Amino acid sequence: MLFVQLLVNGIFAGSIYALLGLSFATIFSTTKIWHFAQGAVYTLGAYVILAASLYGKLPFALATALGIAAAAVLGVLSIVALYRPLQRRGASSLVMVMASLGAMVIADNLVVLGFGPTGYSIDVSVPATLSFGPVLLTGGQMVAPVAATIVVALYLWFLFRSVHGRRMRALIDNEELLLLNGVDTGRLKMLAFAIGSALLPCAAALSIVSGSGISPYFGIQAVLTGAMAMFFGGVDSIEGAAVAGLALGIIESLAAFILPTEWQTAVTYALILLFLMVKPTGLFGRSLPKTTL
Amino acid sequence: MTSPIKRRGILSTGLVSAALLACGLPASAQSDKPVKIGALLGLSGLGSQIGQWIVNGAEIAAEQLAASGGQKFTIVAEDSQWIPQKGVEGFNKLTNVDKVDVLLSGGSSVMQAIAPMADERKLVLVNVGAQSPNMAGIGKFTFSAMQLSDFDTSVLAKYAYNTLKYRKIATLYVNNDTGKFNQAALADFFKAAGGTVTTQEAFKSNETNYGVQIAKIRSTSPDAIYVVGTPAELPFAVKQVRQFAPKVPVLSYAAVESKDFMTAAGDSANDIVYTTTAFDPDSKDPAVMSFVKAYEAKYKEKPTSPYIGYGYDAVMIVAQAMKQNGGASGEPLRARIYSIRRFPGIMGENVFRDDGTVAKDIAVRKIEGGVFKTITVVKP
Repeated sequence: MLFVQLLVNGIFAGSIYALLGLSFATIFSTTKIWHFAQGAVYTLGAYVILAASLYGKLPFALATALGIAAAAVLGVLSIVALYRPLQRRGASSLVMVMASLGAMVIADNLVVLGFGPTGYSIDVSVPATLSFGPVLLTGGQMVAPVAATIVVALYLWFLFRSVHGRRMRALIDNEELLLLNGVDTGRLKMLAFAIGSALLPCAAALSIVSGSGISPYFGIQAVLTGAMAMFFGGVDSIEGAAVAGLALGIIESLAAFILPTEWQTAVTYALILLFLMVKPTGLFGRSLPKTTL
Repeated sequence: MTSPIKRRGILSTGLVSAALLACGLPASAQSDKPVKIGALLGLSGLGSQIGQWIVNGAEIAAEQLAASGGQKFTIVAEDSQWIPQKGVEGFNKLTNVDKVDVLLSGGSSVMQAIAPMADERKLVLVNVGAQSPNMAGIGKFTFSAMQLSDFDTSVLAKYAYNTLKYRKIATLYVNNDTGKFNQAALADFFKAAGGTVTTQEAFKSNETNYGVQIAKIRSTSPDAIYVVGTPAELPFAVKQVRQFAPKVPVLSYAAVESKDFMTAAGDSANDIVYTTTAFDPDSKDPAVMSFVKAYEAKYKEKPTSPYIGYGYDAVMIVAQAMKQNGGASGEPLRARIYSIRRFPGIMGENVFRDDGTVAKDIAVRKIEGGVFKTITVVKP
């Protein structure tokens, strides 16, 4: 029954990865910017939730809402205050990446300065743990996939049904055509950053609910997982990143079934790499990305 | 080219300075010049509380020694952040610039970097903060004033098997030196006592999600789980063990006795059984009572951590040995420590062994309602 337990764990982890993948894919596929500072937004958003819960004594749902708002603002700030000024000065992509990394390092260390290097955890009331024979399903593990599905569904509705959502998807393929049609792509990119960043505190909240601590060093992990999910799903398919994220979580968990746990991450990424060598466009992608680092 | 007059001037200044220096050399034997004890510890960042405790203990010892007349000691603290690069920088500063006579340090990876350097300079190096069994015999001039983790874990393993009657245990550990050695030592001692180890699961540094490891452990149905992690992971590992393996008892190591851990772990810290140095601040021993009184007066809180005791003991041991040596440091100090061997300590006697390690009293404790309760004390 270890297999079933690992599968349950994998679905839980995968639902969080799905959100991370959606977040990174939204920003990268529409703007083609390597947003490493996403890690900073993730960390800061999570700590806003922490501060609101611990010091502001707000109920968890309200604290999460605050975190989402903060993340959206930070996302817009990233493009307006960090990337656009650099682009206007003709900075190469490499310079943008460096700036991005730098922003992330500064943010992480500011958090350490303010909150200390040890992580925190918040106790959130969740349904009691259920057990099906030897398989345990904790409250957090029940809540996460459900919540993640709702968020993903809402987001996909926005992406496919609303005008702005469809324009964002058009931005992935051909920015010039949109400009010719009189669409303000600058505003659209800001929207992409805002929405992409807003998904991050959702992922953080699900992590917290399941008893994972918030650590100031988790940011880079969030970015890498999100990026991996995006490539796995296909760079030009935002919705593909959600499915890929779920698959990533399940594969990673089941990898521990066959191998010692330390090899989990290495094996998972090796498998994805192998897959990409066979099908470089990813699970759902249509064409290869035109961007270079 | 300097003129002949200038050259003579330089030469004579040089001779005069050399003469002055030569007169200054035997100063270490004078009791009016304080002996400098360097303290190279993590004073910022993760684990800085431990470094601060050690320095505090050392300061109290220095104060008590000064008050009783005789040789004065000053503590020169330097931040190593518990990492080797900073440790080497700190070591160089303390030896080249501050010219310390003795050095206290800790952190297994820092000690591994500086022990050979201390040997080169014939500088007595006292380990007050590294538990890795690697510390045994790590340097000719290195002494450990704290017992190494294999000492602790042997007590815990025997207690788990003989008293708690566990027959199968699993280990959950961080994949670094601390984790690997501690869990390997416990596993070996537990097997030697007659038990079996069902599985040993590792997690990486700064991990936040332990679901997979705990699931695998649970599937092997152990009687207890031994959890080892650094302050960044330990509270979350314990919390998730409580969640995913609710009725399985948890064993751990001395690091749980810290405010950081207790705050982050909350209720899940209760019922953890662990071993640590038998430091009893409520002891009626006059030496302990005066130590506690002095500590409370200076730092406005009760000393609870054995790390304070390591710092205190290290300075006291050095002072006692130096007194019998007429204040010499270096090789004579080293020889004198070995010839004395047994030193009184604030946490029980310190008995040095040939490889520089020490045998001490070990307390088996359990966390109950947020309080560290001593169940029993095991003498070496």
